[in-house]
Amino acid sequence: MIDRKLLVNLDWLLLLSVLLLASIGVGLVASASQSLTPHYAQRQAAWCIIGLVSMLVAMSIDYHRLIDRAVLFYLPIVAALVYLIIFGRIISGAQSWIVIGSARFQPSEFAKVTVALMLAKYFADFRQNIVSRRELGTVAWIVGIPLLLTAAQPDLGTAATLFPLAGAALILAGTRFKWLVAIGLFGILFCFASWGLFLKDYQKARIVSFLTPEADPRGSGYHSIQSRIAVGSGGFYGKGYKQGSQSSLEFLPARHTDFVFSVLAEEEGFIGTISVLGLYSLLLFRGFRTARHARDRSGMYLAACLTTLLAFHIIINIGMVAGLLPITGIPVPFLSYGGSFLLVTFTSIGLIMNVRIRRTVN
Amino acid sequence: MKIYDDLKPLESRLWLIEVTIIVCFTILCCSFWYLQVLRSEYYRTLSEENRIREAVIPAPRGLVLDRENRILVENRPSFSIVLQRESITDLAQTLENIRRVPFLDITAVLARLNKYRGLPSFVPIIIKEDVGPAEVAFIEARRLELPELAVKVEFKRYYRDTAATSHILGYVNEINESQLHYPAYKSLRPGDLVGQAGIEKRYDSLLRGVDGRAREVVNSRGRKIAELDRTEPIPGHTLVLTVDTELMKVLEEAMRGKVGSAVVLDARSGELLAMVSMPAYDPNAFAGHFSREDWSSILLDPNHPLQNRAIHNLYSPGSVFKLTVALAALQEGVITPSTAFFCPGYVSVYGHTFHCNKAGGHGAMDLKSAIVNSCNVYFYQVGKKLGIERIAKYAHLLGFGEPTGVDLPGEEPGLIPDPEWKKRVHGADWYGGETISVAIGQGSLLVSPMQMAYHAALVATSGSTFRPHLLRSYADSNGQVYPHEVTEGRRSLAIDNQYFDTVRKAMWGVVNQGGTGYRAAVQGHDVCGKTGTVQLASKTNIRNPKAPPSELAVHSWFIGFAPLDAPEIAVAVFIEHGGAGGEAAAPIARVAFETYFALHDRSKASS
Repeated sequence: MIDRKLLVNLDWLLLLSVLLLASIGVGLVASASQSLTPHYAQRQAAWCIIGLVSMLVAMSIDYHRLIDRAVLFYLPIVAALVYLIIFGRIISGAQSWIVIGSARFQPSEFAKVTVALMLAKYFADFRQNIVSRRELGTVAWIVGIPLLLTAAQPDLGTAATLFPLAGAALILAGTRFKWLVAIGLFGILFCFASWGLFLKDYQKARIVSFLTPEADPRGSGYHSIQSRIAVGSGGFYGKGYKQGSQSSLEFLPARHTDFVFSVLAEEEGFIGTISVLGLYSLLLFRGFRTARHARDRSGMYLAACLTTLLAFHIIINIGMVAGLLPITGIPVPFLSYGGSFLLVTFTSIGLIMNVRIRRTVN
Repeated sequence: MKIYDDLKPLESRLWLIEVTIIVCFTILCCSFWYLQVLRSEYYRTLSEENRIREAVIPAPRGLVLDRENRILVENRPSFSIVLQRESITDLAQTLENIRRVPFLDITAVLARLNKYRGLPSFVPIIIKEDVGPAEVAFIEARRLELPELAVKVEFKRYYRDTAATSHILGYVNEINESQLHYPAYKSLRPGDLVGQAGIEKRYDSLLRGVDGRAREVVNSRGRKIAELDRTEPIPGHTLVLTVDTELMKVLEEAMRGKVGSAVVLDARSGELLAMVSMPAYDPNAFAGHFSREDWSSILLDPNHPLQNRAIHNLYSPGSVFKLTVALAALQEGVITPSTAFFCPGYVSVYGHTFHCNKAGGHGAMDLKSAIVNSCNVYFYQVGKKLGIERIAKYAHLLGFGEPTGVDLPGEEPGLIPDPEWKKRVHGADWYGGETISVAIGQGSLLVSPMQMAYHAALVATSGSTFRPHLLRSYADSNGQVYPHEVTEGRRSLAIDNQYFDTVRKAMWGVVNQGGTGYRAAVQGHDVCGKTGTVQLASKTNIRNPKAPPSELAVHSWFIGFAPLDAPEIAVAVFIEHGGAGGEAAAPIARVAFETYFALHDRSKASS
C-alpha cells in the first residue's frame, strides 16, 4: 500500500515524539491508577497499539482519496450524533457513547477528524485571499451541526474543540480581522448561551469555582486547588515515579484521564513538565512544518487544522492543570486514558504524516 | 493543472496560528516555573498537610488509691455508638436506618449531628454513650445493613464507693469555655476531660498524664493509610490518698439520711482519714461527654449534693468556741483553772440580759465544770474580761478565720469578727454585746467542719499537728514513688501546754463525766470532746438561704479527739437540724472513734 519511496519523506521526528509521548502516557496511567481496580495501563497500551495501526492505515491511503470521500465519513457521524440525542439516554446512562457489542465509541471524538476532512475538502479549491459570507456560512454549517449536537449531549468540552478547527481553516483561507473577532465573540456568546441552555449545575459550579477556587475549598474549587498543590509540590525534580502523594492518596480527581498531567508534574517535577511540553512543541512544530510544505491546499488545510486541534487540547488541558483555565473535561493527547480519544489522536497524526509523505509528486 | 499550488499567502497566515500557540506555550512554561520552582515550598507544605494528620492517643488518667492501696477511681472501658459520616451515601436512608434501631433516639442523634457539624467528616460522632453488651451486639451484627454505625471503645472514669468518696474525689467532665483560657489548661482543647471538683480537680495535672501523638498518612477521604511515627502517651500518676475507705463507708452509712458532714483527721500528722459530706452524689453521672438522666436531679436537689459541706459551707461554731475562749483566757491570765463564777441562769452585761442554756442556772462553776456543762454565763464573764481583740487573736491561732490549706479546691476561709472587720464591712463600731455573743460561739463567727477538725487536732496535740491533707504519695508510670510531705500547719501556739492539759481534761469530762457529749463515749478509749448548738437559722448556712421547714430545729456540732493521753485521731461532725448539745453529731463521732479503734486494733493484730 505504501510505496517505499514515500518513506523517504516520513517524518521520523514526529513519529519519535509520538512514540515517546505514548510511552510516557502508559507509564503515567500506570502510576495514576495504582489504587484503581481495572488495569488501565494495560488497556492504554493496547489502545496505543490499535492507535498505531489506525495511524498506519490513515497514512497509507492517499489523503486526496480520503478528502474526496469526506462526506461519506461526515454524514454517518452526524447521524450517530443525532441517534445519540434521541436514543442515547435510553441505551445507556452515558449519552456520548455508542455501544456495539463490547466496544464503546464516542462519535463526538471522531467528529473532530471528519470535520477537518470536510474543511480540507471545502477549501481545496478556494483560491481567493479573503473569504466571503458564502464561505463563512458553509463553514458554520460544517462545524455547527456536529458542534451543537455534541453540546446538547451535553459535552461542552468536546464541542468546544471544534471551534479551533473552524478558526484554523478560516485564518488560512484569509478572513477579515473583524470576522475573526466576530467568530471569537460568537464563541464567547455560545458559552454564555450554553450557561442557560446546556450547562448542568455541576458545570456551572466548576466555572464559578475556577473564578474563585478558594471560596469553597472542600466544594467544587477542590479539584482545581488539589491539582495546583500536586503541580507545585512536585518542585523542580519531582517526588519520583509512583511517589506522588496527591495522586496515590486520591486527592487528585480524574487522575488517569483529565488530570494525568498533574501526576506527571507531581512525580517528575518541573523537569518532567518542561520535557513533555518540549515533546509537544516538537510534535506541533513538525505538524505545522508539514502544513507549510504540503503539496497542495487540501493537504495544508488538513495538516494545519489537525495540528491546531491537537494544540488546542494540549493548551486547554495543561492550562486547566496549572489552574489557569476552568475544568472542562478536555483530555491531553497521548497521556490521558481513553480509547476513542487515543484512536482519534493517532489517526490525526496518521493524516498529518499522510500529507507529509505525499508532499512531492513523483 | 499546476503541479504545485502557490501557497505563499497561506503560509504567512499559518504563522498567525503558530505564533498564538507559541504564546500559549510560553505562558504555560512560565506558570509551571512559578508553581514548581518559585512556589514549590508553599505547595509542598500544603501537600504534606493534606496527607499527614496528627492523631491524639489519649493518656490514661491516673488511678486514685486509699491509704491501704484500695482502688477508689479507675478507668473502665466504655462502649459508645458512633456515626461515621464519611460512610454516609444517602442521609435520608441513614436517618431511616437509625430510626429503626430501637435504642437510638433520632432527635438526640440529629442534635448531636448539628452540634458537631463543623468537625471534619472523618471524625466519628458519638450518638449514644455507655451502651451495654446487647446494644453492642445489635450494632456489630448489622454491619452490612448499618455501615454508618460503629462501636467505639473509650476509657471512662469509674468511681467505686460513690456515696462515701464523692466529695473527696470529685469528678471529671469536658473542659468548659472559660477554663480553656486558664494557663494551667493551655495544652487542652475543647472536648478534653478535666477534673471539675475534688481531688480530680486539685491534682488534675498529676492525674492527667501526657497524651501521645501519632502522625499518620491519610487519603483524601481522611482514612488512615499508614503511620509515620508515634509518641506513646505517658499515663497519669497514681495517687495514694490518706483516707481509709472502710472508715469512710462506715461513716457514710451512719450519716445516711442526714444533712451535714464529718471530718476525721490523724491528729499527729494532719492526714485526712475520712471526710463525708451528705447528701452525696454519684460522680459517675458526670464522667462522660453526655449528661445522664440523673444529672439534673443532682443539680436541682434542694440539699445541694454537689456541695462539699466540710469545706464549702460555713456555720456558727456554737459552744465549741468556748474551748478557744478558755485557752485564750488561761494564757492571757484572765482566769486560772480554778477561777469560779456563779451561774444564776442569766447575766446582765452592757445593759442586756443574756441567758444560760440551763434555765435555773448551773450554780457555782469553775473552768472545767463550765466546759463540761457548757455554761454560757461563765463564758459571758470570761469573754467580757478578755475583749474581742484577744479572742480573735487566739481564734486565728487555733485554726479559724483562714483556710486550713487542705488540698481540695474551693475551701472557704470562714470569719472571725473583730472591730476592724466590723468597721470595714458594716461601717459601724463594735459594741460590747457582740463580744458576749462571740464568747459562746454565736454572733458573726463562721467556721467550716474542716476547720473544726483541724482545731480539734491542734487542741489534742498542743499545736504540733500539721495542716489537713489528702495526698500521701504519688507514683509515675515507671513505679517511681514521690512521697507528699506536709510540713506546714504546725504552730508554736504561744499557749502553755499546761493550759491545753486543763482544757483537754475538761473535754474528757464532757464525754465521760456526765457532760453534754456523753453520746460520743467509747468503752475502753478515752474520748474527749465538745458539743455545740447553732441556734441562728438564717446564718447557719450562708449558701442555703431558702430554709426547709425543719430549719427551726437547731444544728448540732461535735468535735473531739482520742485517746486523751496520746491523741491519735481528731473528729468534727456537723449535722444540720441535728438537735441541741450534740444530740445527732456526737453519736456519729462515736461511730468514727469506734471504727477507727476497731480498724486500728485489727491492723495491729494482723501485723
